[in-house]
Amino acid sequence: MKREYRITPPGQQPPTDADLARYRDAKRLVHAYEKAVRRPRRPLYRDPKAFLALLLIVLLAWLLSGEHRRAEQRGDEMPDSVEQEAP
Amino acid sequence: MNSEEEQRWLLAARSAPQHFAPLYERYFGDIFRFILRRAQDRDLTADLTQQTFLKAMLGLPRYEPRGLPFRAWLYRIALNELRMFWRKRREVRIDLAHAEARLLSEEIGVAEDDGSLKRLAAALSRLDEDRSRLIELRYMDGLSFAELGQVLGIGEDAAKMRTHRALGQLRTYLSPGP
Repeated sequence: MKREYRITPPGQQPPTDADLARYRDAKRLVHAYEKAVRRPRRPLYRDPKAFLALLLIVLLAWLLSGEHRRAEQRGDEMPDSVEQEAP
Repeated sequence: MNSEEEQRWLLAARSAPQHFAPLYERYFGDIFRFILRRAQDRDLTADLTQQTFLKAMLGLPRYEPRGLPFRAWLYRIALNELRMFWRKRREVRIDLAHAEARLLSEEIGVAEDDGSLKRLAAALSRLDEDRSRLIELRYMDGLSFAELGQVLGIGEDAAKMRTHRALGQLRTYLSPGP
């Protein structure tokens, strides 16, 4: 990464104490800190949206596993029928 | 705020985040100016400054004073925030105030007129990143060698020696050719 240094133009003043005071906000900082460390209030199973999403995932997994099992059963039966038809 | 007072506030802030406020008030200006000269935009600087202090609060349990001022640790966090901000950029622009440029030109022993200061800025741009960062932290941000070492993760003596070498290279760039 290239670094380019520039002498600040004379008209461009550094921030004054009043400028800094406008941006300084200790309460906002403490609020952000509390938000960052706070644990989620509701557990996943009590959140309706999260619960529904979880239910859908479980249902989908159950359907897929059922379909997979049926496909395996069909696969086991297939070689015998092929042998019978061969001669 | 003296060193002992600072340690007391640090201990208090570890147990209750509300006690971090005096440290925030004390160092907000330093960190804001540090970021502003590298990010230029004031609103963006305010966001990065807020992020720096938030990370400092979250990392306070891991902070070890080692007899150095707390602000050196804050500069280190601010520098990491800036690195993340710069990650997708090809070029970084850093503002050098007239007063700081004069201080640096005095140290190097070159004239302090506008033309010389511009040449100094161009010479600084030619230094590699590590060396230019040493010069920035020492002559623009006013850090001591011990603080410089803490920010860059090197010893105080190494910081002194590397700064000396960086100044030497700057002098070479600024010296008139044969």
